[in-house]
Order: sequence, then C-alpha cells, then structure tokens
Amino acid sequence: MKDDRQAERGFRLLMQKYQERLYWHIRRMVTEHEDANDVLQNCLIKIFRNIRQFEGKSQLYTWLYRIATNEAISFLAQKKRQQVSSLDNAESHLANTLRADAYFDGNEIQIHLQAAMEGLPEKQRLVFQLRYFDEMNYQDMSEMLGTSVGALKASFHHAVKKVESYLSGVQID
Amino acid sequence: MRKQDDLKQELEELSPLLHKLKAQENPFKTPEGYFASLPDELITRLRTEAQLVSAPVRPTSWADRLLEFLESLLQPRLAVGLATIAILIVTGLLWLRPETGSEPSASEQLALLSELSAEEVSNYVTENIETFEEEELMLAVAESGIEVENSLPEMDLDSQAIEDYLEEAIQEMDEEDLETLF
Repeated sequence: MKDDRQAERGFRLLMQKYQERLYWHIRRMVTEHEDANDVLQNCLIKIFRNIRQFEGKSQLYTWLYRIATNEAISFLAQKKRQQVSSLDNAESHLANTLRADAYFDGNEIQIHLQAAMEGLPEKQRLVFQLRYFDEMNYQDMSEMLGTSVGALKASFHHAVKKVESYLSGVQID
Repeated sequence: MRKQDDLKQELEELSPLLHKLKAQENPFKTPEGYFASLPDELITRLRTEAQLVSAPVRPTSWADRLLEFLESLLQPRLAVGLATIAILIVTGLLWLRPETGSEPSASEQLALLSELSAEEVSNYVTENIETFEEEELMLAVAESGIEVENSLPEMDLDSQAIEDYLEEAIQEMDEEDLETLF
C-alpha cells in the first residue's frame, strides 16, 4: 500500500515535469486535441507500468519521447486504416480540419506550415518536428531514433527545404 | 537534457522564412485547466483499472455459468483432445471413401495429415467448431480422458431462456464490445 502511494507520488512528479512537452510533441503529430489527449493518456499509463524497465542507458526524457512517438505513430496508422478514402489530398484535408478546430487559432501561414509537414515522409517529418518545434539537439535525437547525427542533420535540411518550397508555392491571403 | 546546440543559427542559414515563423505564438490551444487536471484524472483511471484487475467479477447467474462452461470447451488442453479425435474421425472417413484418379490417395492424405502439428489441428477445429456434430464433440471429450473441471452445474434450462439471455446481452453491448468478440 505504501509502495503504491510512493509510486503514485513519483508518477505525479513525472507528469508535472513532462506532461506538457509530451503533449505538444504528440499534438503536433496527431493535430487534434481530443486525439492528443487519448494518445497522451495511453502513453503516460504505459510509462507508469513500464518505468522499472527504464535502464538509464538513455536519458529519461528521450525514453519518454520515444514512447510518446511510438504511441502517436501507432495511433496515426490506425486512423489512416479507418479513414474512408477522400477526394481531398492529405494536406488540404488537414488544412480544413485546422480551420474548423476550436483549439487552433493560427493564421493561414501556420496552417500551411502544418500542411507542408503533412506532406513529408514520416521519418523526415519526425526529425523536422523534434528539431524545429521541440528544439531537441541532434545528439539526443540520435539516441532516441538510433540514427547517426550526420543522417539526422541531412534529414532536417531536406525537410526544411521541402517545407520552404511548399510555403513559397502557396498564396497567402 | 544536454545544452541546446545552435538551432537559431542553423535555421537562419537554412531558411530565413522558417526562422521568422518560429517566432510566432503556438497556434494550438488546450481546454482551460487541462494540464492542471490531467494528473488527477490519470491517477483515478489507474486506481480504477487496478481495482478491476484485483477483484475479478465471479459470474453468478446460471447464464453466466453456462457461458463460462462454453468458454471452458475452448481451453487449449481440451481443444488438443478434440483435435486428436478430429484426426481419428477424418482418418476413418478417408479410409472408407473410394479413391478417385485426380485426388491424392487416402494413404497420401494420411501422410499429409501426420505432418500437421497439434496446434494447427487445434486451430482448424476451433475455427470449424460449428461443423462438428455435438455428439462427436461429447464423444471426443469422453474418449480423450480429459476431465472437464468446469462441468455444467445442474440447471433447469430451456432454449427460449438461453435465447432471451443472449438477445439481452447483445442488446446491451456497444459496437466496440462486439468488435472485440470477433
């Protein structure tokens, strides 16, 4: 019983420290708040149940990010399978979703930025997001994704060029 | 966390447009008080789930006991027994059936059957359980020598009562429950 209380207290502290960062990381991947909330809750419960498996070989926060990323990717894959094929492409579908989202109040260029990211290959998108939004350094990213720093830098550079090219091609009202 | 490397400089060199955009406010919002209430919500969820795990509900009604018995028929131990009997039945049928030119002979089919693992046969029986006659199944249980622990308790059942119960149970299930069954 005492152990349970201690575990709860520890978990509460861990949540207070990391929940926001993990939420924003997940939210940028899945876009909508309701989805982000579901994925985050599942992710935190998984962390609570597996915290003893953390071996300290990597930093705690890269371990947490890896779990969050895997949860979000599984969620997106499942959602993709369930989605009925649409005439819209993924980018314009996302832009329309954001315009209708009560928890998004970005301007048009921010909507196009999200749409541009949607068009990137999965790994490149993840690297772009981790670097651009989460400001993760390459060394931590390398630890988390098991990819060399050089390859990550190249991936980020490609992604930036693609996003920039997309943004240059759209007309902003 | 390690010290941040110079993202600012990297972005400025790579894309001034993206560098400028980064200064804008985060466009995503959350419901008010979301982060403040999340830890309590999660702790409550964990406690509820832990209680459900530590105190499994014991079925009490006759219908629950019936369902429990039916489930026991699908236990791996019993399924292997059923599979063994199924092999014997299929073997007998193959020996008795007249051979035709284009199909493999009975002895060839038997050779193929003997290559199947108990698990493969068990899976076949489980998937095709509806095609087996009730008598065959009961015979299989009796001849396999396996004791059924959850033997059917004495109950006064009639088929209408069972149908009513199942109808009611299905009505109470939502779509998700049904999906998990199949």
